[in-house]
Amino acid sequence: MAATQLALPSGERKADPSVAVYGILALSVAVLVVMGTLVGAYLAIRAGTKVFPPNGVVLQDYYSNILGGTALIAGFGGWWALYAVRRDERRQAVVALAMTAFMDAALINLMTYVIRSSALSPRTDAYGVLYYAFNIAVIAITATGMVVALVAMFRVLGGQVTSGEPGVGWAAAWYGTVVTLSFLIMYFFIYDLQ
Amino acid sequence: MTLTVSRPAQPPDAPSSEVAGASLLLPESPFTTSDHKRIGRYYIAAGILFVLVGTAIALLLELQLSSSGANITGNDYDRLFSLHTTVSSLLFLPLLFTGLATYLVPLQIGARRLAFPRLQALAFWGTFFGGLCLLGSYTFGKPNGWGIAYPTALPFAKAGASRATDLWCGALMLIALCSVLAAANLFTTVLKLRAPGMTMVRVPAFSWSVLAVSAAVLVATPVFIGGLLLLYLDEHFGGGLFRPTQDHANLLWQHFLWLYGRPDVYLVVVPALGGLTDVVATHARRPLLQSLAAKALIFAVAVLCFGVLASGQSIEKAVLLPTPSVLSLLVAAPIGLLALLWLGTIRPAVLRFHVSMLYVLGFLVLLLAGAVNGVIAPSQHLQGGLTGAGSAWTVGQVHAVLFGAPTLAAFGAIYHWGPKIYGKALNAILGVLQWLLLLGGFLLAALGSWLAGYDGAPWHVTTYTGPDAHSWFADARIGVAGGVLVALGLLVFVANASMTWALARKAPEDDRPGDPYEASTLEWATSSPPPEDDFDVIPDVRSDAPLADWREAESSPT
Repeated sequence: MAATQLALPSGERKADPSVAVYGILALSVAVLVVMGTLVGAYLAIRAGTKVFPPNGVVLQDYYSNILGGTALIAGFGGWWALYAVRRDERRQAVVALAMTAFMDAALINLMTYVIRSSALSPRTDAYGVLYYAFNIAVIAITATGMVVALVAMFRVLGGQVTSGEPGVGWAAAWYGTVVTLSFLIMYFFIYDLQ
Repeated sequence: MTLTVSRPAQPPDAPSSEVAGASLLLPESPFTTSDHKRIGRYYIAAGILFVLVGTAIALLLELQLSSSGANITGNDYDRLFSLHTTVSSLLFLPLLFTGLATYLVPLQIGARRLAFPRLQALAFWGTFFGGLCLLGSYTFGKPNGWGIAYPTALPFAKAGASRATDLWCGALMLIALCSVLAAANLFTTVLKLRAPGMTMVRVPAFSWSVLAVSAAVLVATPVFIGGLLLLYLDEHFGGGLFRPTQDHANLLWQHFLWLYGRPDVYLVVVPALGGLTDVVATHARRPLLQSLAAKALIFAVAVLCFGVLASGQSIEKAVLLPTPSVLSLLVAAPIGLLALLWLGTIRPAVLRFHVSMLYVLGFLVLLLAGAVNGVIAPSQHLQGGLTGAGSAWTVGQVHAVLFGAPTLAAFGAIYHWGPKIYGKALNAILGVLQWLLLLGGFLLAALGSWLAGYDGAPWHVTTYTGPDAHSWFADARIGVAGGVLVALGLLVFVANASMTWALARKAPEDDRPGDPYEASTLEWATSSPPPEDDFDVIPDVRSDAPLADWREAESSPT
């Protein structure tokens, strides 16, 4: 090994566990701006035509309520995992994160079904374009949330997330909340504000 | 004087596991590398590659405008025009500055790596692939009309699926998404990976500017992503969201495009200012005058860039502000004040003549030329009145102020940090030649458009027609000459960088000084190029000039 000369006093320190949290929060800002953009488009178009859903199109509350419940459970799972991580309950944290990932998958699955069975189409009118854009955005955000939950789960399994270093747990909890929030934004404007 | 006299084969201290440990999962390759320096070099090389294509397209377009008759007609001209604008604005300066930031920010703040190193590799390859798809869209049949860059019309006049349009929208979405990922990464890196003692106030100007521009990108770019998603669905399926008969459709697209586009065009100035601030302080061999004020001014530019949304003819009808141009002019105020701080720093200093200082001068000359023209313009008969929107004059302003000046700043930064990036200083004579070619080229290119604008020429036309056309042809020929000089300048840089890279690899390590300038910031505290983990030992920072502190401590008797 070549000789080294230490020029400055060492400031070596442990890796900051909150790096993952800050990264996720920065990404969350971008995600929420995308949702805000779609809401802006929705309000602008609605101000012009005022008829939503278009005549002859029925958006069923049943599906949207089931979707909303799934999204809330997915969001809850992240915080449950964090609760477990902070108490070093590794098995419980893994279950919570697996549930979050599973609920995200269920949300995507049900959303694709609802999209296909709805009478709104991007071929027919502007609202169809908006409806599909909202759903595609939420599906993409949910898929990212699933990846975050799975990464956190494997890190918990690998012993890299503990009560001493809960950063990834916090990141998974926050991003799970962003996934839920994104869905609720769509839920409010598409299904609730008819 | 370096933290690392020579490059150790294996860093002596344990913390390298952050980088090395990651390699256990994925084999090291250009696609999976976690080395921020390697990714930074990729970004810079890709930026140069794309701008060469963008410049070649620009020369074709300008050649057509320089004589009567049209060889490139209708849709082909529109598409080439859109390719030129999008490639030059999205795939050159943003990539160059992201590359510099990816390489330098961890070094400047005393970190071993980026916050998410593999994410940066993903962002780079996504951007590169997106850029290739954007260029490739030209070969995939006919798109649905004029491209995205035209600001006063809907992006595509008629609906219907087109592979070219799909590819165009998809590529732009991918590029925008990757820029968000890179911005989130750099933002987190500056916030969370600073060395102990490096407070936000002590962060060097370039890294500070990267923080500011990353925050702005995180807010502005997602608007474009959302807009592109809607545009893609609308164009592919023909639902009619952006159809002219749809209420608010035009206004909607204007907001999507310009909430991102206006700040984005101006935001490239922010890292340019940060980089040049470090260049000036280093070669003036003294601390920057009022460094905290300088950082506040850089931040102010990033914030004021959003006000530019209100300028321009297209958005003027949408945003109810009586004086939209004031918001554009406001951006110039902090830039001017920062330039005064540079001059104040240089004035009492024993200035080191370095080629990068020429680029600082060129940056100021182009800004000044733009400012002078901004003063002259109101007394002339421009198309579009005072704003110049619709006039060839605006093309000159864009090329001098928004493209030329930041380009000179980017190359100035590359020449300054060249010894760190390449392991050897770039050839200074070629650097001066490149500076002459770029500065002369940008001035000539802009002059052609300014003169054409003063003669009443419109912008964004396939060919000039009418009684004044011959005068405009002559003006366009000046622009062609400028474009040729710029292209030559870029080729000189390619030759210089390739030659330096090759020579540096053969040079013995003793010929690779870690700190050739007696600088004060941390990137010069490690070898050139730095080892895999950047520093053998993370330093403890006590001021905003940690290396100067160390030199002082070394020279003082114990």
